[in-house]
Amino acid sequence: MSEIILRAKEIKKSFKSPNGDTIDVLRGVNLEIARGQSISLRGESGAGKTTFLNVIAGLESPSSGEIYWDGQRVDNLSNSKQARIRAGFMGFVFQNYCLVPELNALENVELAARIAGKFDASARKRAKELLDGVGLSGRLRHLPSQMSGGEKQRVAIARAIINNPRIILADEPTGNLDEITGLEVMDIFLTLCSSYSTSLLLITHNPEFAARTSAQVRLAAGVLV
Amino acid sequence: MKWWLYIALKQLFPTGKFVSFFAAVSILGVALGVLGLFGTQSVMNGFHEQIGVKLRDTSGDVIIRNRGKPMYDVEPLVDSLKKNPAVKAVELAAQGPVMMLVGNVPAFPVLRSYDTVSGECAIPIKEKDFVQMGDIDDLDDDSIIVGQRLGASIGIGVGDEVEIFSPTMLNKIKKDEVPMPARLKVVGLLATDYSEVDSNIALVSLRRFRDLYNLGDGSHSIILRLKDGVDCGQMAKEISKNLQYPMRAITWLTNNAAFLRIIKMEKVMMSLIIVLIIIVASFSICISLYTSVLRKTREIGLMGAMGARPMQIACTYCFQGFLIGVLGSLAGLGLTVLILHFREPIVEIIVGREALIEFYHFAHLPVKYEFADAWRACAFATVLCTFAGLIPALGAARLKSSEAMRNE
Repeated sequence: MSEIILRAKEIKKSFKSPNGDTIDVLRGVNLEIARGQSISLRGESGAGKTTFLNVIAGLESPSSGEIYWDGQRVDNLSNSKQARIRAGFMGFVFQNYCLVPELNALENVELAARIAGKFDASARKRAKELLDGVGLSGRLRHLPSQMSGGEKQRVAIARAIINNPRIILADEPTGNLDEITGLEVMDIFLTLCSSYSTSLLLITHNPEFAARTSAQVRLAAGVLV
Repeated sequence: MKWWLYIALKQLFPTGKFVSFFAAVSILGVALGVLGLFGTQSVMNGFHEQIGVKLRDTSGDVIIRNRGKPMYDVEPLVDSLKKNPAVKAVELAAQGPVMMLVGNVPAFPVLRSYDTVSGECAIPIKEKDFVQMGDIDDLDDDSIIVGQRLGASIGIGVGDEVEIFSPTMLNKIKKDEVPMPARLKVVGLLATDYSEVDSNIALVSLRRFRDLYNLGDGSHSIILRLKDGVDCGQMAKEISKNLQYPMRAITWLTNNAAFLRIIKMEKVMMSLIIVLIIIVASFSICISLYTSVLRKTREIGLMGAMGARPMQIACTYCFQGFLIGVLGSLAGLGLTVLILHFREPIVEIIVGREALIEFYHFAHLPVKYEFADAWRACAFATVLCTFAGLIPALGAARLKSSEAMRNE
C-alpha cells in the first residue's frame, strides 16, 4: 500500500454569517493522498474547495476533525509549529501567482527556500534548473511586471517545487490564463510533479485538467463525492 | 541572511532599482529631521563655546571684587596671588561708564583700565592681537584705545582725539567747579570679534582711569588669568577662603552665569521644536509602511503559507523602519557636516553677516560638533522610525494567511 502523506479525517468547518446564522461549509470531509498521487478537486463556486485546501494546509483551523501530515497529527499544533513543518512539506500554487514584485524570477523561486531555511548555493542551482525546466531560463532576471501571466505562473510552480515538498496544493492555477497558456502551464505542472514524485491536490473548474489527475473528487454540500 | 531581512532590504532597495521611492522619501525625511536637530545643536554648541572663549578672554578667569566698592591696599594680596603657581597673570583693574564726546557726538562706553606701568594684563590682548591699527604698548596716560565698532559708530579712528567725562565730575559741578574733560588721542582699535566688547569698551591707562574716577591708589577688581588646565572654580574657592569680607572671588562662569544659561536653554528649546520634524517623519513612515502592508496583503499571506511565522513577518516591517532610521540618521549627519561646512555663504545669503554680528556678536557662524548630540539625534530618529514600523508590523503579523490570500 502506498504511503499516505496527507490525511483529512472528518473535517468540519463552520462560519458565522453576519446575521448570526451558522454556515456549515465542510460537513465531515475525509481525504487521503498517497505519495506521488494527484487528485483533482472540483465543485461549484462557494462549495468550500478553497476552505478545504486552507484547512488541510493548516492555514485555517477546522471546527472539528483531524489532519495528518506524513502521519503526524498537525491540527492540534500551534501556528508557528505548523508553519515550520509546512515550509518543507508543502508547496502552493495560487490562481493569482502571488509573486513578490520587488524580486526577479530567480529570487522569487529562491524565496521559498529562504523561508524554509534551506537557501544555499545548491538551492540557487536548483532554482535555476527549475526555471529552466519551466522554460524560463532566459528570464531569470526579469521582474514579475516584465512577465506574462503564463510566465508568472510558471515561476510560481518552480517556487512551489524548490523545497522538494511532499505535496503541492494548487488552487485554480490556470484560472487567470487563456486556454492554450493554461494547457502549457498544466503540462509543465503535471510533468514536474510526476518527475519529482510530488503529490498534488488540484482545485480546478476545468474537467479536462481534472481528467489528467490520477483521481478526481467533487465537493458538494460540504462532503466529498 | 535571514529571509525577513532579505525581504525588508528588497522592499526598500528592489532588484533593478537603486532605491524605492518610498525608501528614498522616508530616508530623506529622517535625514532632514536629523539635519535640523544636529545642525541646530552644533551651531548652538558653537555659540556657547565661542561666547565662553570670548567671555573668558575679555573678563579673565577669576575676578576678585569688593561688592562694587573700590579696593585699596591690595598689593600684599596681589603679591601672594602672583606667587601661586597656578596663576599666569594678576591684574589690578578698574572699569566704569563714561561719556565720550567726539565733536558734538556723544557715546557712553565702559572705560576699562590697563596697567601701562607693570604691563600685567589678565586678558590676552597681546597674545590674541586684540589691538588693531596700533599696539597696546602705545597706550599711555594721554591716549585711549577704543573698540572697533564703537569707533565706527561715532566716526573716529587712530589719530583722532576724544573727550572723556567721568561720573565723578558731577561732584565738581556740585561744588560749582568747572569739570575739565580728559582729552585723549586714539592710538588703536580694540577688535576682539565679540561685538559686546568691540562696541562698548575703551581702554585707558590705570593711572588715567584712577584720575578720572578719583580712585587714588584704588581699583575695582583684581583679575586673574590662570594657567591652562587649572580648575577656575576650585581656584576661586581657595582664594575666597583667604579674602576678608566683603571681598569675594568669582569665576568668569559665575560672572556670566545668566547669559550662559540662556544660551543653553535656547539650545534645548530649539531642539524640542525640531524634534517635531522627526516625529512627523516617523508618522509618514508609519502610514507608508501600513499602506504597504495593505497593498501586499496577498504576498504576506503567501509568505505565511510558505512557512513564515508571524514574528518573522513582523520583523520584515520593523526592520524596514529601523533601517530607514539608521540610513536617514547617517544621511542627516552627512548633510549636517556638508551644509555647516558651507555655512558662511549660506548665512550671508539668508540673514546677512551684519545680522549675525548684531544679534549674536560674532562675525562668523561658530560650529562645534559634539558626539553626544550626534548619538542622541541618531538614536532618537532610529528608535522613533523602528516604532513607526512596529504598528504596520503588528498588522502584518496578525494577518491570517487564509484571509490574506482571498483579499481582493
